[in-house]
Amino acid sequence: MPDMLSPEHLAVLLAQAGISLPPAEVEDLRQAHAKVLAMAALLREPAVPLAAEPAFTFATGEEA
Amino acid sequence: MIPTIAEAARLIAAKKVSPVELTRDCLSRIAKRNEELAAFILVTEERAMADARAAEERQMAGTLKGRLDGIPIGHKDIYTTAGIATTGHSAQMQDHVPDSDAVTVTKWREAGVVLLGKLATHEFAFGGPSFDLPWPPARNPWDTERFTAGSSSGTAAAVAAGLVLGGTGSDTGGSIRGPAALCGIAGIKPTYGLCSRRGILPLAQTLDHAGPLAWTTEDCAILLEAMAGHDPADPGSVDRPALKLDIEQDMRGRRIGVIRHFHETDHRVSDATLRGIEESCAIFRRLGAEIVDVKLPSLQEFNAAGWLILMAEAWAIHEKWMRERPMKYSEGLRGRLALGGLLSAGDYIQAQRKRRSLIERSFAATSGIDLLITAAQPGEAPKIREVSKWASIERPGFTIPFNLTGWPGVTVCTGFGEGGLPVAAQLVGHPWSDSFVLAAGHALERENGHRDRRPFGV
Repeated sequence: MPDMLSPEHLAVLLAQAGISLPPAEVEDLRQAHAKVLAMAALLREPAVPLAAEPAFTFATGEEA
Repeated sequence: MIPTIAEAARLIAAKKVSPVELTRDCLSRIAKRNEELAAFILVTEERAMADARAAEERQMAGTLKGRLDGIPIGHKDIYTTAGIATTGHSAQMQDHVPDSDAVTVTKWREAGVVLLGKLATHEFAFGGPSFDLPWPPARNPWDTERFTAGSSSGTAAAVAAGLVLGGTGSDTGGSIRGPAALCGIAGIKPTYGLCSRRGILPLAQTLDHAGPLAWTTEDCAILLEAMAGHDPADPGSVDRPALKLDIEQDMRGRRIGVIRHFHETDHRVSDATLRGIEESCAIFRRLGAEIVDVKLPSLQEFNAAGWLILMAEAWAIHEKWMRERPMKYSEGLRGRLALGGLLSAGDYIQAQRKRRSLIERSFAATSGIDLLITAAQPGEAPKIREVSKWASIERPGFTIPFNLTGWPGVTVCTGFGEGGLPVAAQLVGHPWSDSFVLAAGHALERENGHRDRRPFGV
């Protein structure tokens, strides 16, 4: 995973999501998105076990 | 002198203060301060006076409904209110007038509160202050050039300035506990499932919590008791016995865990914030509690899972408008929502898998612990014009870990920093220990003496 998306890659993702932003906001978004990429990488390090379940909305007791 | 809710309730019950008089005092302070503070985006004066007169009739007839009867409050403008505009502080819903109340609004109405109006929020309860919305952002009453934190910004400002005695907030990543900290008041994010979210504009359903803010934790307890309760129509609501809060609890023999790495290394807080936490520990020790260090997963891990879940769920809620009319959002929210639109399904599921692991590890690390203590904010309020639109993802926050776990968290004022602005500690307990968490906050407030100081001019 790159540290930051290229402008072209970001344009593709924005188009896929159906998001249209003023040009001045796109570069700002690309810079901020680098922080999200870092968070997404942190989620995967260390990798959870293959069979790890997601949390359930209601799991607020010891059974979580 | 502005009474707390507990004091006002005693005075109303003893017929020493009339709800009408109390309401007029609040309306007078609103008239004097709201232009500067922008805490209210709508003042419902007529409704407030009608509510107050009805409460006064019950007072005279000896039929008061309880401690909230005749108490002036406000609702964060994501709580729907029948016949009263509910906008989410956004141009997207500027003219929206719902025809029913949120469940929690109904509960407070039935308890006899006086509704003074709708309070400012960060747009749709997400992110930072925006200056390109139909209403300005709320200002901190301790220094109006300073940030309130958010998103329950109007409620915190209004409580601190005495415009209301209490109000509603919502907390998805810290939106009750953060503004309570920077505005020097109390606020509780209760256990997930304790309060219905039905009728509250959602931000991220698996993290959203409803709760109150007030000057003291005792007042928060009074408000929370009237707000809690099972709602079969809210899938996140849990069916449990009615909440009965006891805030006078013995601290002797309790084990309190300091999550030192959160506020000392993961995100180093200001000296004043650190001092407040240490002084709070000393108070608890003096009251007979045992203080131990506790190690949880890092703030960075919690924040990565929390913010990705929040952004993904918020995107799902706002996707349609983001595609059809993005320019009706503020620039800041538009950017934050767009980040959610760039996430993959894999990102979201990995975050939920990480969340489960974080919850399990948190339970394991806190076995035998009655209460946790750490920071709620890194320090005193920054200047409002200097808050970055990406602030929530630039540095890890202290509050979102407990949105992920669903554990109750209370903010308590622990003193003042070098700039004369309040600093705070966050007290956290295991699920359904809301009563003890509030009791610990109450004990701290009673001992540390910081409830006697209000912002200048209040």
